[in-house]
Amino acid sequence: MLNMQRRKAMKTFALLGSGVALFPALEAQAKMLEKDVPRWDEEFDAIVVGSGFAGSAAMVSMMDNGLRNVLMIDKMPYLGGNSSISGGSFAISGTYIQKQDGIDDNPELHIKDTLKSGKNLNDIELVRIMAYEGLDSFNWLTTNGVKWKWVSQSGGHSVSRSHSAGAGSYIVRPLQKRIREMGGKIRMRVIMDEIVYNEKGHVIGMKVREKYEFKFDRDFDENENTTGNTKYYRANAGIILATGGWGADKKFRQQMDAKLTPTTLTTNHMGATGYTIKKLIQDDIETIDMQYIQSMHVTSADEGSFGFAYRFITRAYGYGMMINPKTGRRFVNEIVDRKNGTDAILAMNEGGTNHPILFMDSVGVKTVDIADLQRGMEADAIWQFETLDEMIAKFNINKEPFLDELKKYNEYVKSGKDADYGRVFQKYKGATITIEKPPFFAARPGPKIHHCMGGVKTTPQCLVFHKGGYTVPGLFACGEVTGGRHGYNRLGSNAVLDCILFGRKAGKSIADRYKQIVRS
Amino acid sequence: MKRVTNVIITVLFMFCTASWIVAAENSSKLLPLTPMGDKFTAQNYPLDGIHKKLGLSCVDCHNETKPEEYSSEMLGSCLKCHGNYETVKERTAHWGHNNNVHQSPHFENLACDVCHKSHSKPASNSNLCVQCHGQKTMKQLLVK
Repeated sequence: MLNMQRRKAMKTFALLGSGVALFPALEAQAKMLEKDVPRWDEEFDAIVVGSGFAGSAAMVSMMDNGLRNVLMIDKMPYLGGNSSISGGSFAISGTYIQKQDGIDDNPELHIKDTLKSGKNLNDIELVRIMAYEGLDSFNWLTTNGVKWKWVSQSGGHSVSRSHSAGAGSYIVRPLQKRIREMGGKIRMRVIMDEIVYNEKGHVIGMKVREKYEFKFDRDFDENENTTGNTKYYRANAGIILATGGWGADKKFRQQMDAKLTPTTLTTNHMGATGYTIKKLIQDDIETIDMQYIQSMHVTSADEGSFGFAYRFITRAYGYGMMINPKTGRRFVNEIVDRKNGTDAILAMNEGGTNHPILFMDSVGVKTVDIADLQRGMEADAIWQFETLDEMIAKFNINKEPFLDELKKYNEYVKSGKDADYGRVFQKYKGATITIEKPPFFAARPGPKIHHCMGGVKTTPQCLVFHKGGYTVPGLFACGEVTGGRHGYNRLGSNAVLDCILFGRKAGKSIADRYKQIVRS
Repeated sequence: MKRVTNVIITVLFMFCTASWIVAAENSSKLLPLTPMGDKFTAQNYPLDGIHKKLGLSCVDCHNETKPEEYSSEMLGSCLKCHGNYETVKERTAHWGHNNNVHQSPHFENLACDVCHKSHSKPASNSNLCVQCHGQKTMKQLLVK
């Protein structure tokens, strides 16, 4: 039975799971009930919180399923959050692009790769849905105006299945257009402060602040931001949470994973705070895998944020060689997934004082778009060297072992067999690439906090679980705020798949609930 | 005892007034790092540059009926004078190498106040693009 008696006393929340018991307890306030709402300022059939891949897909989906009086809010003064600035690649097998490129792939292989990286901690049912139903969501995006450009292989995937439209904004912007065409409302600078429940424990609306002024300061605690005017929005069929992750929240992420110190860099936009997930925890919403926060190793140690060198770095992991300058030798299979790549770099970079050197020659660098290469060089994150000696001097590389290692590497490429790390050398235009022809190009990878694997626990239809083991009527969630899909570590491009696919499911579920409410 | 308290209050009052005058004098020369005070008045939220020369008043930009509802969101009123996004895009087309700050592929018609502040001078460059795009040609584009 639901115990919806309002808890007047402050309640202490202790995190579940091993290894996290020592973290500071989160103080929780009581839930907000309908009787605490002074008046409903506006009424909608459904509200989506967050405007990234998941929120945008949920909006279009609920309107596809008949809802019209719907609203999407975002606390930021821009739309799309991390999605808008992400690489935005969609991992799936069986597309027309894979067929054009002659790539042999199937859902079972996709599942295998995903579970391997997730150390089998993933919810297998959700993974199967992603691998088998993802193609439908890919085609749905195409129908909604997304134009795909290419397919490539990203770390941890055994074949090329990451489909890119250019950047994440080339997915969310067509969806925004569709939302507006269909009459959905979009509001920026509106932050959700509370979920409002009725006496049965069903979600019926939310308390928000309009004209919220986000403070663009990485050290600022969002809880201290009191800007904006409080309003109450009724949501007849409930709300969809698509608020994303908390990679930019210095305090909260460290409570989840003590290794993530405040100085750790992140690829996330500043809005990726723990503001909503903390509220959900206070409302006794069930979370899973909160301790798994991914750092990504394709970014440069020489850029403060996502930066530009990643275009070079991702190619160089496929066509170049990475060494520890102190030993002059390789230390990992360059094309491993994010988690293993990050761990290998963190194990050798001496707290960010001895960055690895990743380099290609003039043939390998042709795999990088020239504009991306130039921008990386302009940002002082990629360097060009006319000779190996110049590069050795610049990075103080241990010369003798390095030259020996390079010779060995080139032999491996030629024989197609990496005796040290078992790397499969990728082909570019039909041929593998050695590192022999000057000039040489180098960058220094530096891991940055990228994705929160954990989050709210949901059903495959995106209904949200209460800690009591039942789902909360009227509460749905999709995207990075949810957990369970990726387990220990997310493979690149699986997030866009996750967000779009489950965003659509959440939209369908809330539309179904609306129809039920109207009927009864 | 009461007299002592009165003296202290008077001295405090004079001190505060004096500091306020100093602050007001400074603000006529330079905009503050962040706008001052909770109350939305022309004194607390001074203008600079062309906005000042034109003698703009609060209601020229803020469309809300009650001053207490003012925010930095201009609801498009910047474009009453600055034309449209196409115009500003053309004005900055030759800056920033191959990246035009007003033609972001990430955000459609980004709100002006994300970068531009009329009542303050941020300590660091508020060019949003620079948060990710650190190339020199972008870094040197300072927000006016």
